[in-house]
Amino acid sequence: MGKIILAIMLSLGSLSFSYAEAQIEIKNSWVRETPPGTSITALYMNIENSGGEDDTLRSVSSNISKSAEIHNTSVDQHGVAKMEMLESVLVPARESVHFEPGGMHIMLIDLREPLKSGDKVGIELVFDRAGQLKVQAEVVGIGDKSQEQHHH
Amino acid sequence: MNRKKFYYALITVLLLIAIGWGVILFQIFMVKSKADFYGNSYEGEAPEFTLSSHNGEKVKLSDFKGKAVLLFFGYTKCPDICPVTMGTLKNVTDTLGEDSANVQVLFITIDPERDDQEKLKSYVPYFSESFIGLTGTPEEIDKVADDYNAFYMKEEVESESGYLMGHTSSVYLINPKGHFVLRYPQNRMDPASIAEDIKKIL
Repeated sequence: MGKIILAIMLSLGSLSFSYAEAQIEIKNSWVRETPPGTSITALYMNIENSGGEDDTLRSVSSNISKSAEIHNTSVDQHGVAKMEMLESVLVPARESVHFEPGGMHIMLIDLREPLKSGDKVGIELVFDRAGQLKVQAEVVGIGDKSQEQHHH
Repeated sequence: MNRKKFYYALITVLLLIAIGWGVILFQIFMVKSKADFYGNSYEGEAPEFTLSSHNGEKVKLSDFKGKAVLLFFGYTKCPDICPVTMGTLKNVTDTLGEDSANVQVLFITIDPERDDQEKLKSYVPYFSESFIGLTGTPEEIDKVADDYNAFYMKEEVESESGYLMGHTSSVYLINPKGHFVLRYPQNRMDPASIAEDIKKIL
């Protein structure tokens, strides 16, 4: 009996230990279909950190495009939209960071092929703690309602 | 004397009450009239322009007299705000159904260096066959943007995409007489509400 309790306590201990680390999960990732003649698009997702430590998204890469960059769209009080390139994105402990239309996005530049609704594309994210994560994102067409969800 | 004072006091009190009511009624009326539209009120005559359409024709704003015009400044190498907004405008015309025959969506590029007729021809109809893309010489685009108080500039970001543009991202609504009515900033992009506004001005 005592051994069982000890085993449970040990496993709980190791569980709580692992929770102290950053635990990154990527959810709801999608990419916008490319209008004809364009070779640039944006990828959106939620990055969830269920761990007890902050983590940082350090870089993104993809086989489907020549380069991938982290960008943020912001609109000033005059209605002027601008994009800035981000070096990294902090994902605080027990918080989610949303990449959404009109906000942060992964910009896929010089796509090797046009992206069509229903396609799946793979990208890689590198975090300081969680390391390398592979993400499968679905390509979503322009008419899809989910595109109209603005983040403010 | 006392009676006179009493009357003065009474008249003053009545006047104050009347003014108070006036202010309250005025505010109720003003708030109500503002709340009639979802978009932000924007007034004045929409300046005339002549640009080249994605089909290579010369197009003037006055060609669309009798229709409501939704006008958006953007560029095709814009991966986020522009396709989102064009998708919203497509939803607006879908929501309008038959009424959409009386609405014209115009996309004016603020990147004429890269967005020539061919580029616009493949880009704009992708969102809707009825939408018209417009380009011109850098000087022509500059003048239209200036006339419409629309701002744009090349951004100094070392992106692999070449250069990015900062630009006014609001959508202008022009009524069938050619007058501005409303402007939709990016935080007012609900397609159903925009469609409601358009129905009111058709």
